[in-house]
Amino acid sequence: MIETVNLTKSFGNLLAVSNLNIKVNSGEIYGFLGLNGAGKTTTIGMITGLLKPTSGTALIDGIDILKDPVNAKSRIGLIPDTPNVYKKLTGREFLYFVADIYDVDRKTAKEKMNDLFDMFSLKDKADELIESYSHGMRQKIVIAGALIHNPSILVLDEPTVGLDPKSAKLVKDLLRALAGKGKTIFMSTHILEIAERMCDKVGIVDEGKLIAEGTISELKEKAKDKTANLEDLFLELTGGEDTKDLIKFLEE
Amino acid sequence: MKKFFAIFEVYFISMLTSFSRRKLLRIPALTALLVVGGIVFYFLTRFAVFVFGVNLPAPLSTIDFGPIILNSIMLAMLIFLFLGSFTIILSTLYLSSDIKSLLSMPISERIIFSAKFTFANFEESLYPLFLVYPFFVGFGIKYHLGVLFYIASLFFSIFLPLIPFAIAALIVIPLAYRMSVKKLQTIALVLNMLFGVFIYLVTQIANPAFHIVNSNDIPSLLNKTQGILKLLPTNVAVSFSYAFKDGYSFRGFTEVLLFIGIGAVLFFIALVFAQKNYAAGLFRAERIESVKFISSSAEKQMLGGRFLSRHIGALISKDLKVLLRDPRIKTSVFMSLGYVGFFLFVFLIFPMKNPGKSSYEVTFMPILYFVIVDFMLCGQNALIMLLSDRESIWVPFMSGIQSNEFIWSKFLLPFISGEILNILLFVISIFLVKGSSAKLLFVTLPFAIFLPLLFTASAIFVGMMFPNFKTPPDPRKLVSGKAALLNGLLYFIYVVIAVAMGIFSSFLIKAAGISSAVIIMFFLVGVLSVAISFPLITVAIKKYKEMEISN
Repeated sequence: MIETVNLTKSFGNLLAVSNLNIKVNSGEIYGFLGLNGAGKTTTIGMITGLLKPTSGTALIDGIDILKDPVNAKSRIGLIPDTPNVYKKLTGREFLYFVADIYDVDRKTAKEKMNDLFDMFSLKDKADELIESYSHGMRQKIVIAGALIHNPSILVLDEPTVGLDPKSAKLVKDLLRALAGKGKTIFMSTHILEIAERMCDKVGIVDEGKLIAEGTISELKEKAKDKTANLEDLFLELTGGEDTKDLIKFLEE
Repeated sequence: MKKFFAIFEVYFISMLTSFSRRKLLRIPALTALLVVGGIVFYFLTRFAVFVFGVNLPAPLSTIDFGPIILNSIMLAMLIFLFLGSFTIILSTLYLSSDIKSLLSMPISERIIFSAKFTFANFEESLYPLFLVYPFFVGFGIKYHLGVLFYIASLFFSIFLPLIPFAIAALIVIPLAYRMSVKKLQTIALVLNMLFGVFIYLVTQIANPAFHIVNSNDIPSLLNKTQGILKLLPTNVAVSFSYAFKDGYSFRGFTEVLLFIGIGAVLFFIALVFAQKNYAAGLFRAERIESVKFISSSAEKQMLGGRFLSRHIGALISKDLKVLLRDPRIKTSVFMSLGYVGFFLFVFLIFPMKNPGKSSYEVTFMPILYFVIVDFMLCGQNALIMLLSDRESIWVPFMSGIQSNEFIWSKFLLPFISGEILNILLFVISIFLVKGSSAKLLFVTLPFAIFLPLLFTASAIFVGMMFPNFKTPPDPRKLVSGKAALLNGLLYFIYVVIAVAMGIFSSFLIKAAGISSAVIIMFFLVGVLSVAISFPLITVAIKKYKEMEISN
């Protein structure tokens, strides 16, 4: 379970996230939507302990990330938006390293690693340096690293960016299956179709503030046009109507 | 030309911003740098005036040292520039992060190459400007030469990097097509280091301790050297300077223009060559870099679960792999090991072959040696190791490892390697000194034992004060400028303290005897090192705990 309590972050005069209160229950997939610079990655940073909130806090399975960061972090599997991993390690070495620092025993790590390599079609590349991997393959190895210690919470920042259609489908199926097993999944995405099809609950953030939250059907209820899809609703809430007008003008 | 100047301007602004991110601090930082440069310039000029006017005793009084001095300085600078130009050309033309974006823009490779090449020349021309030009100024002052000489020599100094850079580009471009660029960079750095060793050895030819040359033969050796130097291209500096001195200003100025002209022609050839081969080599180099295969032995290589905690073991094991596979880090480590070997000769083997009888002569050199070597092996490498996680730092930071585990994992490897080396060197120095003087060396033992602790702790503290875990824009800069500066500053402070301690230990031996001196030094150096090191490590741990990571 993830719960943020008045989570706020400012960088100098810039208020990146303001009094954010969200709750994601076990077995739920929460889609965190927003325009570029809306505060999605900053929120993820604070939830995962990479950034310190200016005020407020985040609870990870009831553990305060500020009071007991190590315990809280060990329950999270993070998949950041850019797959920055040790390029001078091989895929296998990287996963062993992650297993070691997350206290996964060797036997379990080895079994799980082989499954993950199979699942992500990385078996042939497992013993090559990560620097020789493509962007998509790096993304896959990061996802494998996030799963190897069997976390109760998965936090994903744009998880399908750079993945080929087959791998993207695999990730989506995997997330659904993990949610089915009671894992908490929090993901930010720009791809509204993914959010609409996968997420149990969606939160829309704009200029650091949560401007709408609920299930897809709840959000549609709130829309002016009841037949609108998530994209229309998102644009309506985030001021994207202007963009629509602009596109229409350019088409004409 | 517009595009050329646009690129040049971007680099120039980047250079200015590298002094300080804050615009307000940029001008004071630049001014401070210019003031320091001015001071160096002034003292070098005074030194040059002195050197050109010095009267040596017989048999050296018959030799005109002016041409030898000018030629030697030119030669040393030219070789320095030539070897340095390989590293610079590789990093700016092949490893620079902006290459891909520049190539994707509608700018020809010729313009990219020439803008990068010209800017690298501009940056490197600062070295001759501050290190070579003062000798011309000194020459001019000594012989009361006119303004034209100063202008001609200024042009000569500024354009000095042109020829070595153009030649280096002509060598590097075809090589980069066949070899790994990072490997080439390592080779260039090793050559630089060997050049340093070579220069040192050359200066030792006349050292009477080694009996290489009889002192009576030195004048004829210098005359022969002068004869050889005349054949080198650097002799143009002597030729034009003496032309001005003898009143042939036109001839002197023409020679300078000819020298610059040759550089310009070589640059033009390099440009034409680059137009055909640069981009092709760039893409090929990139492909060679990525096709590497490492055999599967990940399980065996892990150190965890043996004598260290599993987390620390995993972190050290990972660092070792990164260290051994990253050519930039590997080069830095190998270079410091090379210097360790080099200084072994300079500070221990040569002086200890025939040490004096006084305690100062026996103990001073090893203490200085431990300071220099431990700074390189522990201080510099701990800093590099600490920051080697770079953009991947989020992986350990997000995991269940404690902040103290992370910091200690970075501490152990440089510290242990420093300790092992120091003990080994202590034994070597005992073996070299032998006899009754050997027991004097025990006063240096506290330095051997505690300096790795102090230097490693300082470096880790400095690294955490300026945590730069992002990928540096320039691959040469593994460590941020501020961290390197503070680390260097601390090093000089420690050198001063160590020198003072060395002198103090010598007095102590005389006043209290060797046994008491050893005990007192153990207490002093030990207590000081521990008292400084552990708070530094504690601050570093706290800093890691408070650290924030963002893209």
